[in-house]
Amino acid sequence: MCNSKIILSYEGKFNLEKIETLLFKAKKLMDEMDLNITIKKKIFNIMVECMDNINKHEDNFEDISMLKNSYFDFFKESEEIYWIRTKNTIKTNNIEQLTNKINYVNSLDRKGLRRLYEVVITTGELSPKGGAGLGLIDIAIKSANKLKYSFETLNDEYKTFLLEVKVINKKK
Amino acid sequence: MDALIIESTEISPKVVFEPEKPFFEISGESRPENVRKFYEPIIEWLNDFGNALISKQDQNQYTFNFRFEYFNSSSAKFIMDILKKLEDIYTKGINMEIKWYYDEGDEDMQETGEEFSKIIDVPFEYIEVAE
Repeated sequence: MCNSKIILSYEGKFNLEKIETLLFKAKKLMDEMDLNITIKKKIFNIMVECMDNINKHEDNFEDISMLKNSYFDFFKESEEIYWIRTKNTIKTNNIEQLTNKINYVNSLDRKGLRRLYEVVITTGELSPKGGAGLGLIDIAIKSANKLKYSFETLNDEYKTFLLEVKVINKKK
Repeated sequence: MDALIIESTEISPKVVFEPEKPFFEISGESRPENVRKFYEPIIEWLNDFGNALISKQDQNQYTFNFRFEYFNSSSAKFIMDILKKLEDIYTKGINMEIKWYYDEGDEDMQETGEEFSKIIDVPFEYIEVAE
């Protein structure tokens, strides 16, 4: 990705106001680019879900010195390939569940993802943080690519979680 | 029964439910800050409306238009709850159809409608809107 070009990036705290500002900027920037409406919608949808995930799931910190800024960027690898990346801190004891979930989502094809979406939407309850458990499934459907992710250890209790989502702008 | 009219914002859809008219519509973007707070009154309204129709054995035909440009995954759960409520009314003898609009080429919105229609037992019509 050495020739990649950052279109929009932000590092800092995420709250609803900041997310709205970033989404507004992203929309404006995409309008200025040569992207069709379908791909713009896919990218926008993924951004919303990714930033929503940070806002809803970023863990609270008892030890404030461990708090790292969350990160978002949107960049272009080539004329056809775009990436949305987010990074946030999570508790180590949540890693296994998250890893299992992403690996399961990555093991499914589009039909399988649609089936999983159907199961979760009919059986899932809204979490106390307002999530329906559909976010990652929705991101995977919109991306139509495997989700890339990695963790970086901060200490025994915390890690950073990097999620990278690829979108291909197929020319008609 | 009072109409339910909610104006759209950057993050929430427009809702026009007027009981004296046969067309009901929800349209726009949906990613409200508090999704439960936004959607629960809509579902409650539909519940009351449905009960009123069922109790008088209403024979009119009703159309519910879903014209979403976009909705986030948290909203999807509540849109499904709205559709389930409509199914409940339909299966109790009220004539109804759902029109699912999507922008030309927006296969994600089209497929989501198709998924919903597999779950919900109400006639669905898909309408592609040219760019």
